Amino acid sequence: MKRVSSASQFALEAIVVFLFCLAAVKAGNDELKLQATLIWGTNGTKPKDPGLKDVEPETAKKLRGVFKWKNYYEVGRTNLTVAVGTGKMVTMSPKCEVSVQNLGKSKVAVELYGEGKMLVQKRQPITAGELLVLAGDDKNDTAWFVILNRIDR
Amino acid sequence: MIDQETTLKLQAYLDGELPAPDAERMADLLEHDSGAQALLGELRAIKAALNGNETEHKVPESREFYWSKIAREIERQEPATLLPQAGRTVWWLRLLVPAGAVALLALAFTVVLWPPSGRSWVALADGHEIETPEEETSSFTFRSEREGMTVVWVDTHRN
Repeated sequence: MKRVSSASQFALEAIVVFLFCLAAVKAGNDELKLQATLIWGTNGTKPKDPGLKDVEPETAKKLRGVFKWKNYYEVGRTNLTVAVGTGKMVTMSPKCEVSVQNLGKSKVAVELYGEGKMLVQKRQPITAGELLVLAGDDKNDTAWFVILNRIDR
Repeated sequence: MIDQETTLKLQAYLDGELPAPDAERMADLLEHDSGAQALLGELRAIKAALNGNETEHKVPESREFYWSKIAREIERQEPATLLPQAGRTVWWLRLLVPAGAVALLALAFTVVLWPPSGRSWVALADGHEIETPEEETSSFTFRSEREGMTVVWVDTHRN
């Protein structure tokens, strides 16, 4: 009698652990691990700003393939994990903020704020290896870029 | 008072151009109608005067050739079998108009604007949507398949 109740208890605990793991895996599949990068593009030389770093060569190559600027410098980078149905706000610079909402099924709603005003909101699916680039002109024929990409796969 | 139709029939009767039944009816009318008799007398006098004083115009060619020229000119000026050809070409024009309208509608459905709450959402293909709430800001989206990049260019119209 004692052995039977021990076996039942063990089976019950195993089931609970299994269900817990299943829930954890499912939640992991729904959340998105993203990276937001603020980049500054210019045809001039690199300014004497210690905060500026050279952009990864692969990213720079992609940007050169689309835009006219030759030199790209990373102003800031943030990794964020967004669970489905939730959103996160990221401050890229004193004048630039990005809000990312996980709409589920790998779809996001990205809001770009400039000096506190929402400039644009973009909704789209986001897949690994793809870049979502929000960009605009800056003074002296330069440009800013906010690049959002998945890093969880 | 003789009406216009009777007057015309009297002229035809005088010229011998009325069909036999109408000529008999006209002859009966003339026996009983003094007005018709008077009119017939006037018409006879006018006809006699014209016959006697009409200047004859001679043409330098034969009657047959003269009238054949007129007939050929009439045939030349008549529109040549255009109606059947016009029918054949018009059918595709009739299809072109609705086909063009359908194409325009299809284009409109792929880029649709709807303004909820004063905002402008643009629905793009493949589940992409974009909104630019600020009036002084505009944006456009393009995709670089080669670089695997979707770009949203924001123009704040500051320049």
